[in-house]
Amino acid sequence: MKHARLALWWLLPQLVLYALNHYAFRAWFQQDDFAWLSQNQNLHSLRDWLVALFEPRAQGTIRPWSERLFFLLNYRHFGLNPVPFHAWVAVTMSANLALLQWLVWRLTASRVAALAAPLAWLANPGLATPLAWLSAYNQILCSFFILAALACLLRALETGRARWWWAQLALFVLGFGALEMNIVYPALALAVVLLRSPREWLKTLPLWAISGLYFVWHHSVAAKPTSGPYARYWDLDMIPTYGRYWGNSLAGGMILPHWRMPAWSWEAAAWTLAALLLAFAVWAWRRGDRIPALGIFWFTAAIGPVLPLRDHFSTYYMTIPAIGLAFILASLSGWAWRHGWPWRAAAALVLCLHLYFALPVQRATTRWHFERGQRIEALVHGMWQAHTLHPGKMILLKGLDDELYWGGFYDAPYRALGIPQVFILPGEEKSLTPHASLGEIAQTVAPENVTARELLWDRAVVYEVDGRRLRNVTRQFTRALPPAWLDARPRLIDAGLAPFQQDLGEGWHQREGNYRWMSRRAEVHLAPPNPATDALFIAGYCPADQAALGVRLTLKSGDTPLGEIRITTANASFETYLPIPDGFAPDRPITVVLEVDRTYQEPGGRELGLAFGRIGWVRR
Amino acid sequence: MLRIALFLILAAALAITGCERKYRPDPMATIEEPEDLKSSIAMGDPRDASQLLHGFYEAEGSSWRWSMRRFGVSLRPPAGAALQGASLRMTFTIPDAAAEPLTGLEIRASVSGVKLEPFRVSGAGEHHYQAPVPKAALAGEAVTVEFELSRAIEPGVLDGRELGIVVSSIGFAEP
Repeated sequence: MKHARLALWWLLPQLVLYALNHYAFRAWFQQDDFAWLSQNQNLHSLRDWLVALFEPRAQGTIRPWSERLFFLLNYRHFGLNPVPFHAWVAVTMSANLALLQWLVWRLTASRVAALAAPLAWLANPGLATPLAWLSAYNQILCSFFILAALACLLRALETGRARWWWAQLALFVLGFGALEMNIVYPALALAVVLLRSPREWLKTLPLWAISGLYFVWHHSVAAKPTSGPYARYWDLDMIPTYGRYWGNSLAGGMILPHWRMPAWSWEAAAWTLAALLLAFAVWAWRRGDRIPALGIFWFTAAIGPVLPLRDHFSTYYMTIPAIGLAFILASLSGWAWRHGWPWRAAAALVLCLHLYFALPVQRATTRWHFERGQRIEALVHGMWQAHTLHPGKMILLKGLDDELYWGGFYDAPYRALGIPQVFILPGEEKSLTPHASLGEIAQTVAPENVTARELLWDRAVVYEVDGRRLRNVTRQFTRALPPAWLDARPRLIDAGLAPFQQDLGEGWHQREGNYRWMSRRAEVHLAPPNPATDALFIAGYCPADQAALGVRLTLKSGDTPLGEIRITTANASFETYLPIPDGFAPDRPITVVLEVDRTYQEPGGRELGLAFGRIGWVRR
Repeated sequence: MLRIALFLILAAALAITGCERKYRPDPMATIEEPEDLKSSIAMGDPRDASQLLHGFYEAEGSSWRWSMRRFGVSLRPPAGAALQGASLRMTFTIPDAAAEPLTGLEIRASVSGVKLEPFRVSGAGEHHYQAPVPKAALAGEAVTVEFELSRAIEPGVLDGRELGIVVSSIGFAEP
């Protein structure tokens, strides 16, 4: 009987995990997932693998285990089947729950508190996205490294055996391959050491040294944007951001439409819970119970690194901090259980208030990911089938709404399937909401002249979103093509795609793969820009040998200089926005001339300047 | 410890080098328009066989067919052809064994009865026939394209059939 109760004690959080997240674990790929899935396209040698795994990427992130290897291996073996991906997430989360349960049990000596901790963590709205969206697996895996390292540290303190300390160190170092948030581990470790064996606090010094080294190294390779969603603001705005994360953790951060409650009610619940839990932590501290204080410290330390991201509030950042809230709620449950039914009832009221607001948001978020994933799956399979039926033809889409476009189209799922040319039809962008933080819609819109030309010569097909399928409307659309489209010039061209050949002037070589080399001077024919809103966008590449010497690219239209870019090894693969010069407001199509001051003579005789992809006007 | 390390290295090597999974799109994912004549046809595509009118033998090697001396296909002019005419294109091969009997071969084609410029073939190998077609010949939903070779390989020379050229594809393209 005792064994059965113990087994149930261990199993209950696991059962709740799967009961709560059955939508999350069936969600299809979305958004950034497709960029990670496309990694497999260019892996031919060991060097390719090493670059794919360890080269710093967007925002200077290097997460080989949680993003690159996770997507590379699963996609390589299972393709576009999300089940094995989710199995990894589920297994990791199961381990996390068991580790948290064990840690709280060892810290509080209360089975009730240890059971409450994983359950409280599971109910947190911050966990919904990492469990449903595969690109946020980094949060789950980083939690694992932190919890596992702390478990080893606790064993080291309890047994005095060095091997546990070394195991902790290894897990801590590996954690950097999951998420940068791992940098806060020494603070959490110090807190646990002070709680259990204060005299041994010196043992955490090597951990601080490792985090310090990582900080210096990461600071040197990471991008430091001064504007946009990833700009960091080290100012008083961090305080309301901190409060917002607490509020969202405590009471969900929103009122779901069907609740019929005033919009402020969740905030009232959050303030009430914050006041009650803070009072409990202070009271517990006075009688020598430090666990609630550890919870507050944990939340603060773990959310600290993202507080300067004022304009990038994301609930999934609460994943690891929410363990701190779980500590507080677990401690409250454990204490109340020991002090009779009136206190049990009072603690249950606090927990119910938290769950009443937080749990439905967690459930709604996972369900939203699941339902959006179903629509995205239908879209991606539609594009894939269209490509299979019409190989080599450009695929043009209409009827995408915001959810489908930003969730399942913008991140180019077709690239993972090796489909080169998929665009939305001209004019479709008008029904989409721009999101500067997510990307530029213009680069996914087919130009009018290219659309007309490709359709008139049977080199393109048009599909319209029709519920969960794509409907071929090529003939109907071609019959209604506006004649003026044929004479239009594009706002943005892709030199690496065949349909844009006619918009290139002199000075270009034959297309190679998805790019095209210019010689010393090359021309591009473009529509006139909108000087009030546009910038000139250029995406290109310079070989390392040339970049080491430095190449100057100048752009002009007629006699008007449009800008100049100095290309070195620091920006050999470049994407640049050039502001439109004052007074430049042509009212008819223009020719942009690109010229470099250094070229490379190929053994075959070609003179090569730079290789280009997209060139044209985009909205700033 | 060494055994664990070896196991991990072996597992990593297997995971990285393991064969890639093949998967297929869902045929129900799109709703297609009713079948229409194509403006370009491939000899190896069984869906295009209904557009071969006469003068072809069975597909061989899944991508080509021997023609006879005269052969014809039905094609749909692309929408753009009504605006600026089109270019008739045919990809074909003269096998080495057929090079001598076909020396000096000339291909004459007509679209809806309008005769196109003749095309002279020199030697064995792959060739690309191309001839401009006036837009007047490209009216309507379908046109008949007829080809005639100036010479063919008589039955009994290579096998028991009259053989012309090895055709891979025929179609209209932007001029």
